[in-house]
Formats: sequence, structure tokens, C-alpha cells
Amino acid sequence: MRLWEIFRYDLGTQLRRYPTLIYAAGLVGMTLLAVSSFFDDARRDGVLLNAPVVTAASMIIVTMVGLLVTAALAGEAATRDLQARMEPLLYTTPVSKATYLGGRFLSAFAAGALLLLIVPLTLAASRFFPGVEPAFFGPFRPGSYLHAYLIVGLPNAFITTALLFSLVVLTRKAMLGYLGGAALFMNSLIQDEIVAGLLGRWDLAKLFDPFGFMATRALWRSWTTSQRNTLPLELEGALLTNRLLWIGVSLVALLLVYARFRMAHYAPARRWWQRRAPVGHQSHGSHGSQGTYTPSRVRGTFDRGTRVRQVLAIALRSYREMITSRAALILPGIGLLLFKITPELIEVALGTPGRPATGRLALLYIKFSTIGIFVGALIAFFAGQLVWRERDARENDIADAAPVPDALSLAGKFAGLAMVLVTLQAVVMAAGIATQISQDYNDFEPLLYLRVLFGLQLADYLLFAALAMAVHVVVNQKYVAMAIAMLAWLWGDYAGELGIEHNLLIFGSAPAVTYSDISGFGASIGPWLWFKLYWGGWALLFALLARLFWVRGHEARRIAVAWRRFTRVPAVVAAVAVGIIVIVGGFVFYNTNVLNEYTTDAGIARRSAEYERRYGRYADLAQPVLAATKLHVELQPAQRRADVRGTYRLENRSGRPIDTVHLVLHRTIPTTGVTFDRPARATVIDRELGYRIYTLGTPLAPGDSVRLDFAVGLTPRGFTNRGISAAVAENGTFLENRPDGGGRTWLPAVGYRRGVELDNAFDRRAQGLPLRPAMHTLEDTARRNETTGIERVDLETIIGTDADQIAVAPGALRRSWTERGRRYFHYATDAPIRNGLAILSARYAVHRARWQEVDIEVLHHPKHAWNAERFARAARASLDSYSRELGPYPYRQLRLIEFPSTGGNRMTAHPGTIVWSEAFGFAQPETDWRKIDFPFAVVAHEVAHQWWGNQVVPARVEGAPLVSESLSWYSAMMVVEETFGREHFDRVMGVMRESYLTPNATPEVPLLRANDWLAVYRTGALAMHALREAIGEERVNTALHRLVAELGSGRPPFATSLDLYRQLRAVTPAEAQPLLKDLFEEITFWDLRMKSVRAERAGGGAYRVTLDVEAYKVRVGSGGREQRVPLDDTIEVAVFDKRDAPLYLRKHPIRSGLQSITVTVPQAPASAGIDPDFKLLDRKRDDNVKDAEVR
Amino acid sequence: MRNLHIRNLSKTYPNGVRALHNVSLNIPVGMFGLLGPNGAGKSTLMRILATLQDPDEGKVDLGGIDVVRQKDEVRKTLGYLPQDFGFYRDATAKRLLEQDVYFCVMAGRGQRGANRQQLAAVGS
Repeated sequence: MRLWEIFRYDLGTQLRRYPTLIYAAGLVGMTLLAVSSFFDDARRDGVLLNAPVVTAASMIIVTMVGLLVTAALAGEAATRDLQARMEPLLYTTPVSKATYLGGRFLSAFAAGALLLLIVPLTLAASRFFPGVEPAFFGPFRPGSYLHAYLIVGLPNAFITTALLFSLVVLTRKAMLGYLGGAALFMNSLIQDEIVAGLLGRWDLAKLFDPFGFMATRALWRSWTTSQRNTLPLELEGALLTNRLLWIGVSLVALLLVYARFRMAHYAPARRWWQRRAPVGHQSHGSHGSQGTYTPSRVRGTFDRGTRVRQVLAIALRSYREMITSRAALILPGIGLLLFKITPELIEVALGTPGRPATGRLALLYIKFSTIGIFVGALIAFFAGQLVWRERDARENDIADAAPVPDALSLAGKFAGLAMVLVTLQAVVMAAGIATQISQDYNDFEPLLYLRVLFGLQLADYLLFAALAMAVHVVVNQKYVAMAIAMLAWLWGDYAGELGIEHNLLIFGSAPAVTYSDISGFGASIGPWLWFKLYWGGWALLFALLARLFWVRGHEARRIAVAWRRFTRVPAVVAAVAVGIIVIVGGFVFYNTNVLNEYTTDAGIARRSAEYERRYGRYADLAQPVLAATKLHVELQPAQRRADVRGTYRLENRSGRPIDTVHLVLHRTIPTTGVTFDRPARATVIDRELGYRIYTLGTPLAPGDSVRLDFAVGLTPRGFTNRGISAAVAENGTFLENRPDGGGRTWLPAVGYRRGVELDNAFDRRAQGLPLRPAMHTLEDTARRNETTGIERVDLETIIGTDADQIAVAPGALRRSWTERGRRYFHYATDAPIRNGLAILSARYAVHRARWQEVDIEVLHHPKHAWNAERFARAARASLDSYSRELGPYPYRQLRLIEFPSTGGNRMTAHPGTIVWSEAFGFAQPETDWRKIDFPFAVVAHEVAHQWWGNQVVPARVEGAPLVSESLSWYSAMMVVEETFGREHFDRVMGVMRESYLTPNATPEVPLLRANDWLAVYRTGALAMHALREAIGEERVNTALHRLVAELGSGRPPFATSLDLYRQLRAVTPAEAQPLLKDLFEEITFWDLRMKSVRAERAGGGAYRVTLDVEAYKVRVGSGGREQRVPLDDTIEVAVFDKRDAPLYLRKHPIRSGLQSITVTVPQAPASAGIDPDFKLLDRKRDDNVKDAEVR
Repeated sequence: MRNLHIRNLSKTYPNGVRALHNVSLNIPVGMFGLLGPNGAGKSTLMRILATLQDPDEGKVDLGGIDVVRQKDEVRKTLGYLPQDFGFYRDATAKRLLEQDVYFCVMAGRGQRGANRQQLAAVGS
């Protein structure tokens, strides 16, 4: 036989098999899944779903998820003859090894490559699918599909087929193909989440991920939206290296197979761990009478005990077989992986080590989807092994004729699988405890581990195990069933992307369980339990299906058999299961859709659009301005209930009479009792959109004010599809009202709020709204006077809570008393604050400190005293520095209050109040190997917001966060330098500069207009420090001081980045003006390179060092075009000794192009660099410093 | 004692092969063999008797137990060794019998002692 004949025959056979159809369908599904993962980008940024890079990335994702198919094809090709026991026939024909293996491999590869054509076809067709927004697609470009198929599709098909085929041929186990596929997939996830994500080693990740996924991802991240929409994925750079490397690896694997494969009977080599003596040695020790055998009849007994023994025996045997199989190596693998990476996963701000508290670890482990996918695959795999165990060993006739009822076999196997999963959880728990021990953390909380790992997560696994076993039994095709089970698992992860959000429709899902040391599980367990009970009903139904379709004997008419088995007991079980599904499902539905309003993302967008269409015309209507707020809050922590009565004083500052008051209310938190202190009539009450208009009987005269009373009830009714709000908790209530942000607030807002509108282009287009920029432009001067949401208000709050809790609101504590077993607190602000507040109540411990007349209080969970002293110290140092450099602190108190991790992982500044998440409080900078105290810096940053953001309030236009965030970071870093010294400062700056190591898109706007995270939190702060290096600290501080003096009232006109720029320009000497412009007004990069460093002895131990420097300045113009501009800056040049201490450090004038600098240093130099600390923005950092050649 | 009554047993496979056609047999207690050429239907008949397959028509009665409908009852008394079977790769006959109570438990015989005696009897 010739290669071609084998190839043609095999390919033909493969394509005619019915699983091929299922694979094809699966690939269509995977393609849709892959492309749906770009919906967010399309919606948010306007990325086109048929952009070349999206096509290529979708292709890559499909080849990754499609490893299931590749594994099946490769495994099938490699073991077909063994399965059919044809190998003795084939091996004795005159087919050469090369022909045989080559034909098999090529046919598997060709089948995979043909199937993969489905991906471009599906992608091309996806624009016609229902529910897909046509606006998400650009013009049809057939070439880009072909291109993606050729540079990523085909190579990936070759690489994966070759690797998995080799693995299966060498081991002769088709299942190992799946495990190998799983390993490849896991490798890529690890490259993404750990190597690149946590360690920042993108260079390694791009190389080690065999799919080109990371190389593409790096490009994706470094491209702007317009680049993403136009640039093709070129076969060059990292992608090319990656392709060559892995194709090489694949060829080596195939060669290895060729060398090792023998066309002979396969006798597996005995390994050292197979301890048992070979079979031939067992004839010794024979005793007893030979030749005569009288069977004595042992009668079986079949009572309940027998049943129990049978289930136990099957369970134990299944367990033993699974746990000693190679696949079970994934268990210690998961344990080791978790132990290795947990410290990274629990890092707090910017890589600061975090304390491994049990609640954090356990919750982290159950949300770790990378591990989850592998457990899912493991369950799907083991379920198949169990269902097929007897048939695979050809022992099925014996087992099937044994007096064991079907249900018992099934139950025993399921119990065995459950035991494996219990073992897995024990391994995970051991990894957690080992992490804690290794970090000297000794509050193990074993019960918490048990509840989370063996309660919550095991339940999820068991539900899926029931599904997987049922799929294997019913489908009765091992590989197809495995693929279906895995797709079911992925469905759980991705259904949301496809717009399926209701947990009643996603197998096994429920609202997330939350845990915090302060609030415990809060109210999250109840809804979780109801949903899981509902899915338990389904699992029971699946188990019943498995029982009915259980394969026993040789009967081919499976449906008839199943029907015959459907006797009384199964019928009762079915009735119970359906009963659970209907009753519990109905109860859940009643809670999620009747008691509460069921909201989907699409529904929210629709309503926001309707809100804008109907009431947007009132956006510029003159409205009274909120001047004072009084709140009376009655908290019933045990009932998670908060009743708020509020009073607003509204002033007419418009200069004209005002006759209507518009209110924007929360939609699901009811507001009642809206009354004015003068006759008024509700002319519009729109419950659907949460909008009301009141017409005043007599118009409000200019300068006059009106009183508005209202009540708000924050009491959860039942639960929603997202669970129960954790805002009001038994312990750890955290009610935040942020009217300056997007979305609705639970307190009424006066006047039309733009924050509720949709602000991204694609949502707006999809809803038929006119396009507008997400932010108002810098030139939009009207916004400088727009006060809605950032009014200056006096706030007075009375809070009642449980007697053992401390309740906090902004302002000075006027009075505290106890009344009818409840504790009351009365707060009032001692100076007007920016509108917005945080109300907290918990059993707090208080750490007190003082700075001048200001009381500093750190309120924390009693167990979390760790950082209280640090936070207080940072607050004191900050107040000291800022009140000296920027201006006085307006309040008599500064509180830093801990809130439960359910509120997010952040630290947020409100006037006089800084709230910090418990998650943030786990920070443990003492053990930070980088020797930096980052939490200190973050507290200093939040205190700086008391000036930048609360005194100097930015107008809501482009560049607003430059004023609040960049300046806060600049000021915070000054406190760091004052407190810890220059070296510590440099180390923190170095860590902050690491943000540039991950691939980032080139900025599209200069800093003055910047709004994105990297620009305002990093680039802005770096620019301020680069300026400070150039013109000196005093000049910069003078400018900032003047800015606070000029615009620090917090009243309109509000500040913009132009005000900052104006002040900076005023203090910058003429020679540094170009730098100032480069930093803020333009998008500028410095491309600095040390070409060579040559040192010669200059006598007396000194050395003359010649530095060859290449330098350019690059400016990014409109449309992302980059252009070199003449460079004429003074830039730091340094020569270092062996310990990286500078021997020479001075600024030199640097021009564009190559130049030499000669300096003399007192000792032998080891290296030298230009701008070695990256004070200027340089996108390529590894070439700034070079080792010295000493002659 | 239990006699095996086979009445009008017929079995046709989905691919059209008629394996049994109206077979009736009465088999008293004792040791019997079933002889016939390839394709005579021996295996089909044996599998039906071993509860592993259902006939299209006919009845099988073993001492009052309906073999087709009361499969679990038949299995309690059944000993069946198929013509073609395999074993797990790491299993040896001795280990299966000696250490493994598994098969005994499966057969409803839980006592290790009794199994040991049987082993001694076959002389392993």
C-alpha cells in the first residue's frame, strides 16, 4: 500500500463517521463562543467583529478549545488498529513504518484542517445571525479569513495534531491524547494568567504558548482601536518565532515517534512503580490437593447489607483505580500549582504581599477558573472511564451477569468519583494550609475551609459529575460524550457572553457566594442554596436518565430498554425530581422575576437610552442646587434593613424663577413620601425610568430655597438573580452614595443626571442614540459650571444601629446616645463637603491618632489591627506635608474606615473619610521583597484627594482625572520621599513604572485630555516627576499651591487640566518649556539606547569611560502616526560600579542620533546607562543600560 | 429442583440476521453443553440465558424465574464466563481471587473465609 492510499482511505473513513458531524457542530459552537468573547470590546471600544485580528484571535481560541476535537482525531488515528485489534494483520503486511505512520498522521491532520475551515465560514456568516448587531461589522474582507487560516489555523492544527498523535502512538492510549490536550490548554492559561499576568514575563509567555495566543494577545494589547480594526496579524516578530519554534518541536516529536515506533506486538515496559512481580513467577507455593476440585456451594445472600457492601466495593475500587491512574497526577499538580502561586494571587495593591487569611484563600480557590476548567475536564474524563470501565477491559459480560442492580453500579461509580473530588478538595485545602504555614500565618480556621471547599465547591463539582456521567451513559460514545460534557462546562462560563444571564438557565449556576471576615457569608448562602437545590433536581433527573439508559448486556434497542426499566421506583424518582425543579424553580423565579425586577445588561441599556430620549431635553434646565442634606438612618443590621428619612435644602442660584423640580430616583430601591415645604404637584411620575417632575405652586424665586423631604427603604425583598445586596449587613454595613459617578444613586438626585446615560459609542448606536464622546471636550466651558452631583453641601446625619456597633457618617461626632437598646450617632460636617457620602456600621475597633487639631481615627475589624498604625502614620505624614505645601485641611477629623470585601477591593476618598476594603487591609508590606511600603503610599494618595478632588474639584471634561489622580499620586510620592527617603521613593517609582512592561496601546490623546487608567495613574504622575527633575521641586509645589488657592473652593468654576497647565507654565523657566509641552500637550516618547560602553585606565585607579549613545524623540500625531522630532533635552547619564551604585550621575545635553560622551570615574565601572531610571517615557527599556567593556 | 424451560425463543438482529428461530428446549438439572456450527445461535442463546440480551419472542423460565423479566433474580444464581473477555491490565488471576473480595461481594458473598476455602480447593 502506498502512503496516498492509506491517507485517502483513512480520511474518507474519518469524514464519513458520524462523530465528525458532531465535531463540526462543536466547532461552529466554539467559533461563536470565541467571537462572542469580543462582544465587550465591540460594545465598549467599537472593535469590529470582523477585524483581521479578531478573526485571527477567534481562530486561535477555536484551535485551543478545539483540542477536544484534535485529541479525538489524533487519538483515533493513532489507535484505530489497536481498537479494532487489526494490528497483527496490518503489521504483517508489506507496509513500511513511514508509510503507515505518515498516512495515519496526515489523514488526522487533513481531517482537522478540513474541519477547521468551519471557523472562517462561521465567522463570515456570523454577521447574519439573529441578535448580532450589524454595526459590529465592517466591510466584508474574504482575504483576512484566508490569512488567519494560513498563519494561525493551519500551523496550530499541525502542531496540536503532531504533538497529540505522537503522545498517543508512543503510549498507545487514546485517552492520553485528551490529557495532553488538556495540558497544552492549561499551559496557555498559565502563560496568560501567571507568566504574563502575574510575573509580567510576556517575552517568555509569547514563546511558550504553542498557539500564538500570547503573541497575538500582546499585539492586541498594544494596539489602539483603530489599529485593531485595520492592521492584519503579520507573520513576523514574536509570532513568527513562536510558529517556527513549535513547528520545530512538532517535527521533533514526529521524528521521535518514527524512531521509537515498532510495528510489533506491544508489550508495555514494566516501570519501577509497578511493584508486583511478573506473572510468570507465581507458580511457587502451591499447596492443597491438586487435580481434584469439588466446588462447595456458597449461596449468596441479597439483603440490604449486601447492597451496601456492593456499592462500597464498587466505590472503593473505582476510587482506587482513578486515584492511581496517570490522570490523577493532576491532583498533586493542582496542589503544587496553588501552593506556588497563591502568594501571587493574594497580593494586594501593586504586588504588595497579602496575608493568607483562610476566607480569602478558600474563596479565591473556588473562583479560580483556570483550575476549574481542569477539574471540569478531569470529571468529564473520569466519568467516561467509569462508565466504560468494564467494556474497556472487556469484562462487561461478567460484570453484567453479576447480581448487582444497575442503580447500584451507577451509585457506586458516582460515589467513587465523589471520593476523588473529596480528595482533590483535601489537596486544595492542604495547599492553602501549607501556604499559610510557609507565611507564618497561624489562624487556620479549618471549619471555614471545610464549609467553602467541601460544602460550596464540592456541591458544584458533584452537580457537574452527575451531568457528565449521564452524558456518557446516554451518548454512549466516549469521546463525543467527553466533548459534550466539556462544552456543558464551558457553557457555564460563557453563557453570560451570549446574553444568557439567568441562573435558572445555566446548569449548576447560582449567584456568587461572598465571604468577608467582617460579614461572614452574609446573606449570600440562602439564594445560593435555593439555586443549587433547583439544579440538584436536574442532577437527580440526569442520574435517573443514566439509570434508565445504563448499558447492560448487548441489547441495541436502548430506548425500548429504558422504557421497560421505567417502572414504579424510577417513576417516583422522576416525579420527585420534576417536583423539585418545578417547585424550587418556581420559588426562585418568584424571587428573581416577581418579587424583584429581573434586569439584564441589554435591558439596562435599553432603559438608559429611553431615559435619555425622554428626559434628555431637561439636561440644561435650570434647577435648584442641593445645599444641605439631613439624613436619619435607622439600621436593623440583623434584618439587613435600613430606613432612611432625608431632607434636602435646595437653593435657586440660577438668577431666574424655577417652577419645576426634577428628581432622578433609584429604580429598585423605593423612594417614598416626597414632599416640599410649599405646595407642589407631581406632574410626571415615571416608575419605569425612575424620573419625577414636581411643579411648584409658586415658583422658587432666585436666592430662595425650598425644603424637600423623602424616605428611602433599603430592604431586600427575597433575592434577585444576582443574590442579595450586601450593602446593609448584619455586621459591616457599607452604604455609599456617589452622585458624581455613573449610574443611579439610592438617594434622590436633583435635576437630570448625565451619569445615567449610555456613554459608549456602540451601545448608543445599538440603541439608536446620536453619538457623542464619552467625555465632554476640554473646550466645553459650560461644564465648568455644571454642579449636578458635585454640589457643595452641609451634611447632618443621625444613625441608629445595634448597641454593639459603631456607625459612621461624614463630619464631626456631635453626640452619641443609647435609646431602647439601640445606639445612636449624630454627625455633622464642620465645613461643606463635596456631595456624596459613605455610611458604615460594624463592630469596629478604633485606632486613634492626632495631627494638630485633627483627630485621625482608623476604624477596623478587631482581627484586622495589622495596618491601623501604618494608615494613621501615613495620614499624619500626609496632612503634615499637604497642609504645608498645598493649603489647609478643612475638617477636624480624618477617618479611615474598613468595609467588607463585598464592597470591592479598593480605597476610596470621601471628604474627611477614606474607606478601605478589608481586602486592602490584608496588605503585609513588611514582607515585601522589593522593600517598599506601598499601602503607605496609597493612603497618602487618598489623603491627597482631600485636596485634589475634594477641594480642587475637576470639571467633568477630558483630562479631569489628571487633576484628581495624577496630582494625588504626585503629592503622595512627595510624602513617601519625605518619610522614607529618596531611595525608597525611587524603588516605589520603579515599581510604578513596571506598568509599562505589559504591552500597552500607544496613547491617542495627550495627558491634558487623558482619561484612561495608565495615563492618569502612571504617565501623569511620571510626567509631574520628570518636570520636577527638570525645574526643581519648589517651582512645581508653588504652581500646585497656587492652583489650590485659585480653585480650591470646590465651587464653580471647576478646575480643568488647563488650569493646572497654566500654573505649571507660569513657574517653568524658558529652557524647560519645551519639555513641559512634550509631557502634557503632546504625546512624546524618548527612544534612548546605550550602544556601547568602553572604559580605559586613566591612571591612579581612575577610568575614562566612553559612552556611545543613540537617542531619538518620537511624537505621536493624529491617527496614531509616529514621527521623529529633533531631540534637544538634558538627560541623565550614569556610570555604575559592580553593585549598581552610581560612580557618575549627571545630566547631559542629548541630541538626536548617535553621539559619544566621555567621563572619568574613580573606580572600575561595571555598566553605564542613559536615563537609567526611565524618568522619561521610553517604550523600550532594556537597552538603556549596557555593561562596560574594560580594556 | 430448577429446570430450565425455553419456549419458542426467537431473535433477529437489527441487521437482519436471524439468530434464533422458535427455539424450545427443556433442560433438567445437570451439566450440559451446547454444540453447533458457526452462526448456529449458540452465543445468542447463551447471552439471553445470561440476561445480557432480550429475545424478540419467547419465554425462558428457570425454576419459576422469568429470565427475561426478572433479570436480577436470575443473576443471583448465575455463574457466567463469556467466550471472549478481558481483564484489567494489572490484574492477575490469583490476585483477583485472593485479595479481591470484589467479585465475591458482587456475587453477594461477603465472607472472606469461604472464599479462602474455595481457593484452597482449587490449589492455588
